[in-house]
Parts: sequence; structure tokens; C-alpha cells
Amino acid sequence: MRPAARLGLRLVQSLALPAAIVVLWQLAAGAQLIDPVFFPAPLDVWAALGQLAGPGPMRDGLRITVESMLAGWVLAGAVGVVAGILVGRSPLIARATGPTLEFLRATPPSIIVPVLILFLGTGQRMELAVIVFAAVWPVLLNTVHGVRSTDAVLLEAAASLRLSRLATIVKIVLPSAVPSIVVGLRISLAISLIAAVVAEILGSSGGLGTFIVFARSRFQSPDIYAALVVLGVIGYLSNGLLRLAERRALRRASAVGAIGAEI
Amino acid sequence: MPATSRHALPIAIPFVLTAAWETIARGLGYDSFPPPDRVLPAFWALLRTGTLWTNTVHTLAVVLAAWVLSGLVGVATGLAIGLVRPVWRMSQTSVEFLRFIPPVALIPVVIIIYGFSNTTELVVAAYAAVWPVILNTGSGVAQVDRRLLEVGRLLRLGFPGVVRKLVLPSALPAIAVGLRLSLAISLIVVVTTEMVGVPDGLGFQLVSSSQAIRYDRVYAYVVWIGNLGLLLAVLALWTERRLMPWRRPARAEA
Repeated sequence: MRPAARLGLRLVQSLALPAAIVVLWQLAAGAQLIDPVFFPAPLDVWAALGQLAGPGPMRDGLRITVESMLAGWVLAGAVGVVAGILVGRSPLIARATGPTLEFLRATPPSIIVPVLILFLGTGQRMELAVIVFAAVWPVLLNTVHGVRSTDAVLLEAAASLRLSRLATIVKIVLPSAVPSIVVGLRISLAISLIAAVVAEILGSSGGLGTFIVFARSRFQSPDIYAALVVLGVIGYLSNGLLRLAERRALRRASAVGAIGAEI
Repeated sequence: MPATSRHALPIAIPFVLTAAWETIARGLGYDSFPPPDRVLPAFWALLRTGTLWTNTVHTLAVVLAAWVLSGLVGVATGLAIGLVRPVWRMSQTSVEFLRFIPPVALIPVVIIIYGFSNTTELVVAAYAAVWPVILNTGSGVAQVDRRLLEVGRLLRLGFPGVVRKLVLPSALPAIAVGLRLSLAISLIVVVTTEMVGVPDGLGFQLVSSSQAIRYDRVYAYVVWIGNLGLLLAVLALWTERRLMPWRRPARAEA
């Protein structure tokens, strides 16, 4: 089979199940077998999605959620990589901070929302802080892992070339940790979206989370389901994009690895 | 490094942080940032009146129920996805879409359906916790050595026998990782659901302390819930290593 045909077949296969469910759902709703407040008809949800075409609360919500998710993700990535290098390179720091980091990592991010509201209010700064607190861990842990698995031969070469500590990190350690860091970044983007919605629901900081809370208080179920669909699409697309980046990073890394082995 | 400082250092940091909290909080004198010597009495009071225990028991009971439910559903679904190729192909897009819907966003919908009840907590938490089990079981099962399956055929184990005696045991390490992740997620989501609306458990107590401007209690609950999370994580890791000692990373290599 030609690759294009195979891709087409895969697409049909993977979309058949959701399509069947949506059609059955619509038929059940049309026959009034299910309560439209609990499970609004897919066509009504589609109509609610139409709000995205023009300016309004839903489009504002989408913009705020995506902005916060991306900004928080970048911050969490920066903090995670720097902290990961420190923990990964220094056994002393690793030992000293280990239990504290384990405690912070095990703390559910939602419970710090009431505390953060006291300091930062209910705005976007609070939301960013929640995202960083929740999304920093995958980057940190993967950076530590990547830093520690740097080829010992390369490190010895760096030492014999008398590279400074910073130069060793920038030229040797970081490049070989990139594949691992990219995996961490992908996981942490998904968590950033979740944490953004947590902050928006608990702290009313705007965004799709707050949109859902308002829609619920007016029992506008199609609006809630439409927001859920949008959130699912954001998560699906951003994960897919980063998976492409991950594949590219891994391919380049294996090329670098081959050169490294030749040296 | 001398042995004593090697063991003292990790324990020292939390003490230093607590001391810093005490000093800064006293210096600032904000109501919203009470020092530990005001949080600790609040904690004792909650412990003595039994509020802390009843709510901890409630939260943990729902966490365990959600964990078991997501474990059963997740392993069954993961087996189907990992063993039957068409199931994997047909479900891939749905799984990738559904697992990225933030579970907290489902809370309002589930509250409309099940009201402010334990069922709401259970459903949302199980939904959130099922994905790592499905994905890890699926990939663990898919990576089972094909030769092992041939052995099963030679031994005439039959399909249930092959799954029970060959597939599940060799996928066990992957399943264990999924179950460990799903326990952590269960706690997070149960507490969050209680914060968003279900009037019970530690999450609800945390939010109502905040609304009652009892910040000493807010901090007591935050630290307590954090410690519960740590305890669950340590227990899960310990059990995993206990049950599968061969999975322990070899120290000799270093």
C-alpha cells in the first residue's frame, strides 16, 4: 500500500470510534433519551463552539488560557533546566535538597492556590505561579537524568582541555541532555494546561476554566462541553507538536552520539 | 564528606526553611503569613478535635477507591490496547484527545450529573488516574517478548493462561509505574474536587479555613496534605521495590 493510502486508512480507523459515539449521542439526544442538561446534543455543542468565530468570553478565555499555559511553561522550563543542572552536576546539592524537593513535588499544586491568592491576588501572576509549581518537576527530573548520563569520556576530554565549569556545561553537558530535557518539556506542557485550568477554576483568574465555572452557574451545558472540547484540542495539538520536536531532537542526538563515538 | 554531615544535610534544609519562615513571617507580621509557632497550635487543635482525622480518612478513602477503580479499568483497557492491534489503532486518537482534557475542567460537568457527592470525587479522580495505567500497561504488554507468547502456544496455555501467566507478569514493572503515578494523581484530583465544590474532606476544610480567614489553619492543612502526598509517594515506591527487587537500579555500576 502507498504511504498516503496507509495514512488515510489509519486516519479513518482512528476516527471511526469517536465519530460513531458522536452520532449515537446525537441520535439519543434527538430522541430525548438523555437529559440535555447532563449530556447536551453534539450539534448544540458545535453551535456553542461557533462563539469562537467572533469576539466574546469564549475567545477571551481561550486566549488567556493559552497565553498563561505558554508563559508558565517557559518559566517552568527555565527554572527546571537550571535547577536540574545544579542538582545533576553537584552530588552535594542533590543530597541536601533531595527530601525538600520530594516534599514539594508530592504537594498537590491545587492546595497552594489559596495561599498564592493571599500574596499575588487572583490575577494572571497567581496563575503563572501555580503553573510553574506544577510543571517544573518533569523538566527538573529529566534534566537531572540527562545531565547524569553525559558520556564520561566526553567529560574527561573536557577536563583535559581545561574547559571551565560553565564551558563544560554549555558545550558538553547541556547538548547531551537535550533529548531528555525535550521529553520533560513535553510532559510539562500538558501539566501547564492542567495547572492553568486549576488556577482559573479555583482563583477565577479568567480563561476557559473561569468560563466553565460561569457556564455551570447558568446551567449552560453546551458551553461547558464546548470548552472541554477546546481544552482537549489544545492538549492534543501541543503534545503532537512537541512530539515532533522530540523526534527531531532524538535523531540529532543519535547523530551527535555517533560523532562522539568516533572521537 | 564525613558520614554525619552527609546524613544531617538533607534533614537540615527543611529545618533551615522552617526557621526562615518563622523569622520572615514574624518580621512581616502579616495575618496572611503566620509563623510556624502559630500554625502548629492550630494543627494540634485540629488534631485534638478530630476534625483532621475524619477529613483525612474521608479523603484517603476516596483516593484509594479511585485508585483501585482506575487500576482495574486501566489494566483491562491497557491489555486490550496492547494485545489487540486493531483496538490500539482504533483507540489511539481518542485516548490522545481524552487524556489531555484537564480533569479539573470536568468537575463542573460531573457536579451537574452526580451533585456534590462522593461519587463526583470518585468519578473525576478515577478519570484522571486511569491514563497512566492504560498507557503503561499498553506499552508494557506490547513490549512482551513474542517468543514468550510462542512458548505459551507450545505449552497450550490458552489465551487466558497466556495473559495470566506470561503477559501480565512480564508487563508488571510497567504496570507498577502506571499505578504509582495514578495514586499521586488520585490524591491531587480528589483534594482539588473537594476544593472546587464537594463539601467534604481535606480540600473542603482548606478552602473553608481560607474563607473563614483562619490562615493558621490554611497553612496547617497545606503542610499536612503535602506530607500525605509524600507519604503516599514513598509507600508506593517502597512497595514497588519490595515486590520487584530485580527492578532496583544496580548500585555496583557507579
